[in-house]
Amino acid sequence: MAYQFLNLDYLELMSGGDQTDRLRLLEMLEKDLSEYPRLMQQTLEAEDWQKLERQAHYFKSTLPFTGYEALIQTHHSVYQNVKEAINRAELPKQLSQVEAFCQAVRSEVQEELGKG
Amino acid sequence: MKDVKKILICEDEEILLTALKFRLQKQGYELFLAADGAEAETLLKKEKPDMLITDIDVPVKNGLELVDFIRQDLEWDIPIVMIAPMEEGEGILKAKMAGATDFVTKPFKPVELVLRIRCIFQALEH
Repeated sequence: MAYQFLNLDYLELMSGGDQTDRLRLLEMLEKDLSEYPRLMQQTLEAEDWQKLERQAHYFKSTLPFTGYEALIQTHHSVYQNVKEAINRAELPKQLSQVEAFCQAVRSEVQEELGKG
Repeated sequence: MKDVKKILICEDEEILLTALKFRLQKQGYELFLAADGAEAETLLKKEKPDMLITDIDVPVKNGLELVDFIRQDLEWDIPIVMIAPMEEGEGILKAKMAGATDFVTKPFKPVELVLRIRCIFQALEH
């Protein structure tokens, strides 16, 4: 079944066709999608730029597993802005966008997990 | 008896580390996992792996520092494969100059990494 946001091609590649590994990666993806947008929002509010860079860096490697290009690109802009300390005024809007994209794709990850 | 190659993976991104572990275990490699550069240094000395695969941007000590540690301090010539984001062109160049054997750019296809590892080990045997 094709999803509106989720594209599992990369996750399928990484799991190598093993159903147990695939399920584990889906669970990790769901966990990261549920935690990191909120964590990054909190860190942004605290203006802890180093911590925000670490969190954005970590999350950057999770996102290819969603295959959701709009999310990947928006988060990449967040990461670049934080890393290079530029366009900080844009960050609240960008992070809200990331959070919205994550919620959308996360519901599809949960649907996939529901299939067992 | 088949010689089981030992590979140390240093990667702080959990989902990527798990995916790498799944794929490389299936290839029959014995794996050791480190979440930061300091942990990798400890495992390098303790387990003496046949290869290091490290992300260029890991906490505490980064991938470049690990390359230096292996080549300069330990004076080992084990193969080192660096994982780096596409935009880390300068970092990849520095890693190669410091003595990294090969690199893959993220997001990468696991089959590409598996083939590179196999080629490196085969080249060492001939």
